[in-house]
Amino acid sequence: MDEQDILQDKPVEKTEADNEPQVFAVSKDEEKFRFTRREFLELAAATSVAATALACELPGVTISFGTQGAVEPTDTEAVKGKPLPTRTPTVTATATPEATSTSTPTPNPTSTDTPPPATATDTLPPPTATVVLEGVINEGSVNLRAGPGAYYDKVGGVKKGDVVQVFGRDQAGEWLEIKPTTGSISWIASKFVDLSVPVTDIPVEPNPPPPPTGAPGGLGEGDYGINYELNGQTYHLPCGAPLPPGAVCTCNCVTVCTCDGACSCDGACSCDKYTNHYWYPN
Amino acid sequence: MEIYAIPLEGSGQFIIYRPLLGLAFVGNRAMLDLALKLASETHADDISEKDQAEQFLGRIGFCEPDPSPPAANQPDREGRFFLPITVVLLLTNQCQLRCEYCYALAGEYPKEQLTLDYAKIGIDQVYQNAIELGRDMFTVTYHGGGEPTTSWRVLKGATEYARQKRIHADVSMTSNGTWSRSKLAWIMSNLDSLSLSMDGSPVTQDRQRPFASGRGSSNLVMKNISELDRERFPYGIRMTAAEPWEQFPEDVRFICEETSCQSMQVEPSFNTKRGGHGDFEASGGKRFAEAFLEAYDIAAKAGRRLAYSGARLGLTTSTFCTAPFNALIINPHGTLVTCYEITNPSHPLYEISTIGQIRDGEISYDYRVRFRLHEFMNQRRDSCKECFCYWSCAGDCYTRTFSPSPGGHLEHSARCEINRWITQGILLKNLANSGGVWRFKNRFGAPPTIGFPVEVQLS
Repeated sequence: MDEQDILQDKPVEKTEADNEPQVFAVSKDEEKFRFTRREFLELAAATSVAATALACELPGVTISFGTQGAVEPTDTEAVKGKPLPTRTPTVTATATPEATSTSTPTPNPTSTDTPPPATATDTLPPPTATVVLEGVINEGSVNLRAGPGAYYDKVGGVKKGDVVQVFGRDQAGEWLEIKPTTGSISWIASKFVDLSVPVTDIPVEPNPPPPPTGAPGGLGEGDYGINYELNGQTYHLPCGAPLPPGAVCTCNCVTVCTCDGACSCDGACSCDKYTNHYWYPN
Repeated sequence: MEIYAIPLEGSGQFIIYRPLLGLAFVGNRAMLDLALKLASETHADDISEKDQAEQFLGRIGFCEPDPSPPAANQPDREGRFFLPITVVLLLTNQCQLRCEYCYALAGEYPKEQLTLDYAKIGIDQVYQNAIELGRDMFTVTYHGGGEPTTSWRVLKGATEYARQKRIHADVSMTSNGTWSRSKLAWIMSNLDSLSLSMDGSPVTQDRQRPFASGRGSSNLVMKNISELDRERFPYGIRMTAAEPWEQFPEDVRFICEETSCQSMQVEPSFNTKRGGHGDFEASGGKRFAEAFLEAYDIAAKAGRRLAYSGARLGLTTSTFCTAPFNALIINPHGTLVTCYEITNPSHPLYEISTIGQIRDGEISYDYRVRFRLHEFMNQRRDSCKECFCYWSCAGDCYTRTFSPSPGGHLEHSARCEINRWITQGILLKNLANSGGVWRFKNRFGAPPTIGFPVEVQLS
């Protein structure tokens, strides 16, 4: 399964290995062991154990996300777990310099006075400890969107109390990349999700979906956002949204008052509450 | 460069007005011709060697280019970007008063009331939009078709519900001010601001806004206003002016003297009878404009603001009213409408103003209707391009300028004349107060896209 398939939400082909807990880790220092974030999300969704590493930051282990999709298998250092389906990244445990990495520890059946030498498995949590980074929806009915912003397409919804798996966030921490119990990976405003960790502990999704084209026209009274021009037309987007390629920002994050307060493209605005904001019919 | 020449009747002079730049002065025909000539020249700013008149134009900044005007509202066919963070709840058609100009005939129809469930659905919607847009506040407003406080349980329940959300809810209400002491206490404790419908002195208030019994409402309303003032609660007064027009300045004087209200908005009564949606007689419009300009000075001398919606000098905008564009307005039927005035199907513009319905507990929009309405509004505004109020009035209120016949609009409503008379009148006042050349600048020192006029005295 390649990244495009995941984006299109094709089902993951499961194998026997999917049901078995495994630990995946990638050495930060070895480029060749990196795999894409999408691949990691796929693993997390399939096994839930990969998310353990993400959530818990296993001692001595760092998850890293490469920008290239290819993952090269390793030889001697590879964890000898059962392989995941297509394009399963082979990962290594680099817990301690002296550790001998093995996925099938051989317990010593006989009691000895001296403890056995430390191995990689000693420094990792037990393979059965599957802690997934989850969030709980805290509002009655909440939109799921195709990307980190209000103007992305609505792709579903969740309700209060629903539990979702959390994989990433946008730069500002205002949106989370999640997967609901039923449905595909999508985005939700982070304020709607109760988390057990600070949102800043969640990794930033480096390649969110491209933003939708801005709304036609400039900002009207009461709007807040960016005006930009593209091909001679004026559009607007919410503040913080990336501009489409070739667009020229003409007014960044202006707050255009509904009252008679002074407004400017510097983002300042002054309203007083005594002003009627609308034309009231009599 | 947009230049308007507004002839001053019988004088041979013109107000030479550049609305986008925020500049005006009075000149004769020769000065107008020179201004138009300079405006058409490509390097008009090089005037150092030219004659005195041209140097004057250069000194006052006439040769500066226009700032970019606000873009026209472009209809959003799919409604993709319609994410309102303001919900306007038209709670009921019931009212204690029988105002002589009431468009809604409030209090006389069988009772209709927005349910608390519908109110919550609306609040949930704008709250979610606010969160998704990264805002730290959303707005709930109670308004129209009747007196919101007669639907007390829903008003309280919706406010409490909004206050439970994780970001601030700015809750306000338009009300007739006929509250009991306990309701007044609750309002001051739980709302952020008020727009109070009140017409001025007791003689006017009691005539225009009596109780159903015929008794005057002035005593009770003034008593409640005194309490608002005592507690320094933020409110504005929304006045409706009607004949006799000469009384209106006295009503403004009364408010300035008897209340602490800082901001008044007035609109002329368009209905000569209750329940009507009539137009305005031009003769009445002229007299209203004259009364307004007199009252404007009275308010200014008292340090108060008096505004009229169609004359917003210094405001440069493509949008007369944000309600059709940015607000989620729910009437007692659970219908989503584009104007506070569209409270039930009896309104002649109901069809083109109904953009959705609450169905099965969810907001359901009809974006085709919304798109069509915005197209109509743009067509209407296109017909205004020759008018010097184009950038401040922005096509005016659509419910006042559309013909009740399907798809039509009025090329020139009676309000157009009022808008021009008052805009011109305020412009002249500003010119008189600023030595003959008027410029507005915002507090950042530059003409804003949208701004409030601050007179600058040029030496």
